[in-house]
Parts: sequence; structure tokens; C-alpha cells
Amino acid sequence: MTELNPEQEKRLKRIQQSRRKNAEELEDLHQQGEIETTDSSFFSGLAGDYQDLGVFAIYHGDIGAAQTSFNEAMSYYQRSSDKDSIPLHSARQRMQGMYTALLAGEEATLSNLAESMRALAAEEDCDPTDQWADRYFLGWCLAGAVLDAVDDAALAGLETVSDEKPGAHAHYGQAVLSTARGIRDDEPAAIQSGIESMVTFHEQDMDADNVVKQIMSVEATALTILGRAKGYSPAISSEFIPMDLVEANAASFHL
Amino acid sequence: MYIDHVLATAVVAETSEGYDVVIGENPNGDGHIALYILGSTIIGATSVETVEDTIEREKQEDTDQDGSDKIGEDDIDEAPGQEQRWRLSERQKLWIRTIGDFVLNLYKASNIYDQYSDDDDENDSQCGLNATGIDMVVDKQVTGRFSASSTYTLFGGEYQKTKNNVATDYYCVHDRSTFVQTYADDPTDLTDGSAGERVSVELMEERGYEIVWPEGGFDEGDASEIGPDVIAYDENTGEYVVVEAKTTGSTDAVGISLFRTDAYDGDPQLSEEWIRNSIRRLEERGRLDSVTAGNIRRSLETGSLQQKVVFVRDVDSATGRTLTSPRSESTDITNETVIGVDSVTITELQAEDEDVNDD
Repeated sequence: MTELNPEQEKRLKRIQQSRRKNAEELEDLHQQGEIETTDSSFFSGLAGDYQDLGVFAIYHGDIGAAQTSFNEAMSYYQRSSDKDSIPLHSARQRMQGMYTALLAGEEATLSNLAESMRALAAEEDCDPTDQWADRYFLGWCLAGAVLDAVDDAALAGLETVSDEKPGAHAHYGQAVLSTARGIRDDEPAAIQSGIESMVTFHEQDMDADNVVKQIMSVEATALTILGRAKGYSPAISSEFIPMDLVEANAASFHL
Repeated sequence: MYIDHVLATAVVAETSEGYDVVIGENPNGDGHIALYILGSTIIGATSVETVEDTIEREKQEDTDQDGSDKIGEDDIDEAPGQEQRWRLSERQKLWIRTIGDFVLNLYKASNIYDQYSDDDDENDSQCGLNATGIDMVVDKQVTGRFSASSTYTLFGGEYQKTKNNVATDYYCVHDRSTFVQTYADDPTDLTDGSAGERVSVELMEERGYEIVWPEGGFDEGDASEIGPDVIAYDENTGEYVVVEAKTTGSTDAVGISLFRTDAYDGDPQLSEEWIRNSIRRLEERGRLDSVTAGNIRRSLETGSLQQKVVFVRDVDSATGRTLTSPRSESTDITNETVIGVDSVTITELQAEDEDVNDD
């Protein structure tokens, strides 16, 4: 984990307080019927807040609190995807839900989200040039990796989408592609390469002064937990992957 | 009735026959009252002046029987739906915009007219496109003017081919060179988007909004900043306005393709999810304080936030195109699940001008 300087620590503390306060206030407003955004959008927003709160807990070394916050995030992502009026659009929340389920150590919800993503792929065709193609093929590949049922069509679609992505974003697609292929073909090197690609994406995409991104990569950590849950031991050492959380969660899954 | 800007000494009242407007002093005026009205609006005016001014004016009228160049009611009736000017011999100017029986707004034109010479007034430049040439689907076309550092003709209306209607303004810039020199970081290259971002700041300031982001407006090179181009706050309504500015050299209209991002987990620019993530990132980088970030977020969730597009189009043949008709629910930029655009301002830099003689 990157060491924060005193000014960054102060900022982190302010943001942490603000995130929690805002999330609780917004939940109250939702109960009072004063929220105007759609349920899908609103729940996705809350999921992001709780995901950040999980990251803050990691910074403070509180794995239990982190798992609790990631669990909240997972639930909100699931609720968001359930309420989304555009099926292909909902693939992002399903994908984010799978990431946070891995970080929360929640196998049942992880499987539910993965199955719902595969069901979506079975019901809805998507061309690689479609508006939502990237999230669709990413979600489909990740779901296949979770369920040991990686489809060739999912891999081919994601490969096509990734070829069109510039710079750091190509690493993101490559990361999921390689991890899914590694799990399907039982190739530990591909899984390790996938996780390394996600770390590369995180390093290139993050802003150097972003105090949250400096703590961890949500996606790379989730892929590492997935690899471990599948019985592999990727030799990853990155300041953006909190190994305490990986060790704590890997034992929770029997995938 | 909604009053936007009113002269400090003006009184506006609704009567059984319409509206009474009493215009106060305007020391920055340039010699006339110009009331820009729709043809369907009947207007009468009485000039109020000091005794000294009256004596001076009557002396002048004795030597020049044509002291006032006002346009009569007959002239107005002959051109229904067209912009008309009622010109009086006072050093004051005022714009009135109306929709049907309502005064949409009323405001003085000091900014734009400070730059006009008398010659400019006599041969005012008008956009070659007329209201019917703009592809907005509207119940009523509203023609008016917008004051800025350059001169425009404005067509305003509501785009209705999308799921939700979009308030749409279409400006024709009369002097591209001045516009580019005023707004672009590099006047020879508009591809950095700075022109759209700077004019967006001015648009918000013209409406009296506080610029929340970027603090102090744009500095050169700010165009690459993450997140929204401008965030403004309307103190009167308590609403935030998030602006995404786009500049194009093609004939594109405003559609989903403008807002797509390369990010894998990225929702389109200006969408609710994108605004949330952008605000978070600005806060996490220390560019936006947590209180403001929280306020913006609350506004978004409670429906007190406007998602606005400012689109600067620099192509040598003005098309009059505004928004593209969406092909599906997924490509409709007014769909809240996709983006949820509330309003669009299009600024056409190379609209063909035509001279209009006021006399």
C-alpha cells in the first residue's frame, strides 16, 4: 500500500467521514421518497460509496470492516442491476457486483450474479460495436470464470472490443480475458498475467494524487481472490493488492 | 411570468391588456431603446424623460422631423412571427423574449451593445438560418439574442424527438474570428476543446450562476482536466448545473456518440453515474472539497441538478442540426439510464450571415 503523506491522510479522513455521512443521508432520503434518480442509478451510486468505505477500511487495516462495506456495495450493485431498464447496460453492475462479492467473501451472491450475467448473455445478443459491448463481454467472461463455464463467444467478443481500446484501457480487457482463459484452460501463467495486466491498468489509469486509488486496486484484488479461490497461487506482489484481504477471503470460497 | 434580468429602475406589471414596462436610466446605453419582440406581440411605448431632455429633444425635433425611427404597429402586423425592433430616441436598450402570452425574460443588452458602433446598429448582422431552418421540433420558436463577448442570433425551443424533451438553444455566431480569438487557447486549433469550455463558463456567468468548478474559470491547458467541464450553482433555485462542452469540426448533431468514453467500466459522459464518479475523483484528488462534493451529489439524487451540453460546431456550412434522433432506448441521450441530458446549447461558428437593415 502506498504511504500517504500527512496532507493526504487528512484528506482521506475527511472523505471517509463525508462518504459515510452522505450514504446514510441518501438512504434516509430514499426511505422518505425524496430521491428523483431511478432506483438503478441511485443504488449504483450507493454501491460506489460503500466500495470506497471498504477501501478506507483496508487502509486502516480493518479487514472485517472492509468485508462489511464491500458486502453492502455488492448488495447495492445487485439491486441496481435488478432495477436497470436496459439489460445490456446492467452488465456493469453485475460485473462490479462480482468484484465486490469476491472482496466481501460472499460466495452465494457471487454465484447468483455470475448466473444472472450468463442468463443475460443467453437472452440478449450484443455486437462488439454496440454501445454497451465492453461491459457485456467483460461481465460474461468474468461470470464464466466464476462458474467454470467460459464461453468461446465471450472471449472472442472481449478480444474484439479490447483491440479497439486505446492505452491503459486495453490492459483492463486483457486482464479479464487472460484470467478467464487461464481458468478455462487451467493455465496458471495466464491467470497471473491477467492479474498483472489489471495492476498495470490501475497504475496507468490512476491519478497520482488520488488518495483512494493509491490504497488498492479493487479489480486486481478481486481477480487475485478469484485465482486463489480456483486453487491457483498467483505470485503477485503489488502495493495495490492487500494480501491480508486476499488471504482472508480465498478460504471463504469453494468455487 | 418569469423575469430574467431587469434594469435596476424598471417596473414590469401585468395588465388586462398585456405588460407595462417602465424603463429607467441606462447610462451605458447607446442612443436607442430596442425592444425585440415576436410578431404576435403588440407593443406600445411611452418615453419618460427629464425636463431638460424633453426641451433638448423638442429643439432637435424642430430641426429634424424624424427624431424617432420607431416602427409602427402596421409594420409589426405585416411580419407575424418575425423579430421586430421598436426604436426610440433614448440611450437605452432592452430585450424582451416572449412565448405565447408570456414574457419569457426581459434583460438589457449592455454587454453585447457596448461593442456595437452606431454603424453596426444600422446594418445589424443576422444569422442566415431562420427559425424554421433549425431542426428542433417545437411548439413555439422563440427568437432572441444572447449577450456575450461576441454577437449571436439565438433560436430557442424544445427538442421533442427524444424520450424526454430537451431545452435547446441554437446560436449563430456572426464573427467567427472574434469568437475564436476570445475563447480558444489556440485560435488556429479548436481541437483542444477550450473554446467550448470557456464559452460554457461565460454562459453560466451570464445567467448569474456561481462557477463551482473549475475555480476561477479555465486557465490555459485546463482542457484535459477530468470530469465535467463546468459545474455551476444557481443560488436562486438551489440547483447545480453540470456542463459538458464539446467542440466539433464536423456536421455532427448532438447524439450519443459524443459522450462515449474509452473506459471499460465507464458510463457515457454527463450521465448520472459518470457525474458521481467524476465528483468522487475530483474530491479524492483534493480538487473539490468534500462539502461541495456532497452538495452536488445530493442535488443529483434529489433532482436539483441540470445536465447541460454546450456544443460548439465549426464547419464551413451551417446545417441547422441540433439533436440526432435516437435509434433506440440505448442511444437516447435524454434517457436517464443512458445520460439524462436536460438542455443543449449549440453554437454555430460558421453560419452564413445576411445583412438586415433596420430602417
